[in-house]
Amino acid sequence: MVNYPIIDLHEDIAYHLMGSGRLEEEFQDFDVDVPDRQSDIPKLIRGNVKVVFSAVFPIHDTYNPMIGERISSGYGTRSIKSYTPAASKLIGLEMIKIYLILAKRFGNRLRIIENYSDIEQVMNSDLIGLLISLEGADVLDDIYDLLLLHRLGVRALGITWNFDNRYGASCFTRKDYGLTADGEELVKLANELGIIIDLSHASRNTMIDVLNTSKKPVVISHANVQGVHKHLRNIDDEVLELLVRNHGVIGVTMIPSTIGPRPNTDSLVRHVLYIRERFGPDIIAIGTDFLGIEKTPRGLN
Amino acid sequence: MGRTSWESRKPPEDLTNIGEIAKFLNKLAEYGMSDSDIRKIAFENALRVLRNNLS
Repeated sequence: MVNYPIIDLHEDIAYHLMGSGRLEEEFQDFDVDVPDRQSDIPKLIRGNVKVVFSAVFPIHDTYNPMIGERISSGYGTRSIKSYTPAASKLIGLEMIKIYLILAKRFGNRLRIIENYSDIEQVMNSDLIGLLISLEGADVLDDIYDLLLLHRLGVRALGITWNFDNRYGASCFTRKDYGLTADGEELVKLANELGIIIDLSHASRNTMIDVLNTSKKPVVISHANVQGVHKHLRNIDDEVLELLVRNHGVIGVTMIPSTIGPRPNTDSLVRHVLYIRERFGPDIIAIGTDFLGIEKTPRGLN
Repeated sequence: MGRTSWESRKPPEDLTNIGEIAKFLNKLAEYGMSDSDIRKIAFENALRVLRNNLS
């Protein structure tokens, strides 16, 4: 039985805790091993997880069938459900606060990661590190908001979620303008501050531009590969080649539609083997996206 | 995040929560992956990126 420490490059803990309040009667705290919940403290302990990139998803649900249908078609289905980056700064701050509250409430187990000595401490103890990771730069009105967010504990920064923004084009873009001039400055500032750039959800050109700009290794925190399964969120070989040169990593992910028609661990292993055969084992990591993956009700599958 | 109803209906059928992540590592071993490669995937590669950015 293989049981190594795990670094999970993407979990949507704050999104889960913020949204689950709507189901108050079923809501249980994060230290409870809730059946059917994709992650909580007991499960992180059981999984031997040492560091979790803890996402701040600063996007709000909304009704906008035009956008909903366009994005859903990219995933091969049809839905009017949609999202908006409006109010992303406030939502982002609330989500950061959730992580600070978790670390305070469960201080005997959770630790906010601010520097590498924190990483060393969690790797050598029973603590679990939460590395606060912004999923898209929509929160930033200008690049210097990153100074503020760094002070609040943010240590990873996605350029986009599925919306284009002033820093870069997203994987759902209709005109792939890549990384903008502001985006380039943002990457440089993140490199200076010690904030890891995350290319998940970015467009192909944005990824290529960042990989040619960043002086530090990046993460593609939660994605699989085009060579095994075509999907807008998956990564092609040219980008993987640049990732090798950057010494970054791609976190293979549990998002079913990115894995393939039969989303199980055997299918996921195909993505890992593909990357290893062509690009070697040094760029492969894990980014589950647990708590960000919706479930169908039991019995409806 | 794959939280949209269109993107994701459920996690992989045989790996439904983070407590079971060792199943994935064991599956890599079943497919002949070396211990050293599995360690890299589990944490060593990510640790390298963390060290190079946060130090």
